[in-house]
Amino acid sequence: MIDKGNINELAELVPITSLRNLVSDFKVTKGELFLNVKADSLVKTITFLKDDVNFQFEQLIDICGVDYLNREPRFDVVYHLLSISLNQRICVVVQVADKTPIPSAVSVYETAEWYEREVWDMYGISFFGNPDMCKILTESSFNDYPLRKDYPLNGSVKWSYDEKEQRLTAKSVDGII
Amino acid sequence: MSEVSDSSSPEQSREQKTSFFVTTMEKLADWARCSSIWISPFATSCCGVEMKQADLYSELEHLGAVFKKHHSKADVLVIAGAINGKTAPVLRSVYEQMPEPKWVIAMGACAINGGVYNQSYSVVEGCDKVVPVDVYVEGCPPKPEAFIQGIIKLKEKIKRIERQ
Repeated sequence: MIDKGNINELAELVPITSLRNLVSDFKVTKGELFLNVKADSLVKTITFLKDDVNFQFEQLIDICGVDYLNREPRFDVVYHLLSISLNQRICVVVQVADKTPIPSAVSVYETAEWYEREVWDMYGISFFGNPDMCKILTESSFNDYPLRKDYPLNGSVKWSYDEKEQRLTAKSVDGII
Repeated sequence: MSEVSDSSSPEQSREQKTSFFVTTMEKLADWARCSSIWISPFATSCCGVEMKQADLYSELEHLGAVFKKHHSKADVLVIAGAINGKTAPVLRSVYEQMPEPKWVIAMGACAINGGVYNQSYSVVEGCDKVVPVDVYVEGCPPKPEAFIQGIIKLKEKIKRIERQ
């Protein structure tokens, strides 16, 4: 088994490689290295992290959305990368405003397609360059983004079978925020 | 079966051994239906594991209950697990494709009223909002014995079905 690499050594590489032009800010918190990047330089950053010999992040573990309701810009999109060769993990964070598309990571990691669709489904953050940007989890008639902080906890519609019309109907209800 | 007559003994002849009973066709059909319950599972979550666990018990076969692979050949639909907005149309169409007469068992807290997901945005609060339910088997998840008890309750319900 490969020993877990030192995260501080990885952080020291950030200012001396070409990441210094791409990353706006970086920090080590709770044993994780966070890179804050602008949306324009996202694809360049993760391409560099994948290809560079000092980083070798071959695998995209997950893409998450985070909703900071009263912050501007409102959302974070967090890319979790794993280096199997060096046994390292890294988080790349992009801040994005509401209704602002950000570039897709499909050209670098193909697995990003479904993760981005999930982020679109849950937070309404769209990605340009994704070949199939549509819903993945919720039903097609569902028009809200349920993991946003201003979405009601118990939802906005309730399903039931209408005996008169002989079909399933979605009745809208008052939500509890 | 309303009346049974059997007065045979080993010494009597073949003609005298012949027994008979008098009943109605409806009661005979109900007796046949409750003695061979063909189950179609609609398992969406962990209750489905307990349902298949009950299949390993020999009591289920003693009761005449058999799991079938396709719902178009089944009498009883067992809903085991939470039903959400995306699954609800599928469940309704599965129910409508089953031949008459048909019965539905709601197994587990999620199928009965949503369970721990009761206030969730996506989960239907009970599968009886989507299809009519005959027997509720409670538990989270129910034990296999509870599911077998549910089959026994369903047999009792099929037997004393009221007709116009």
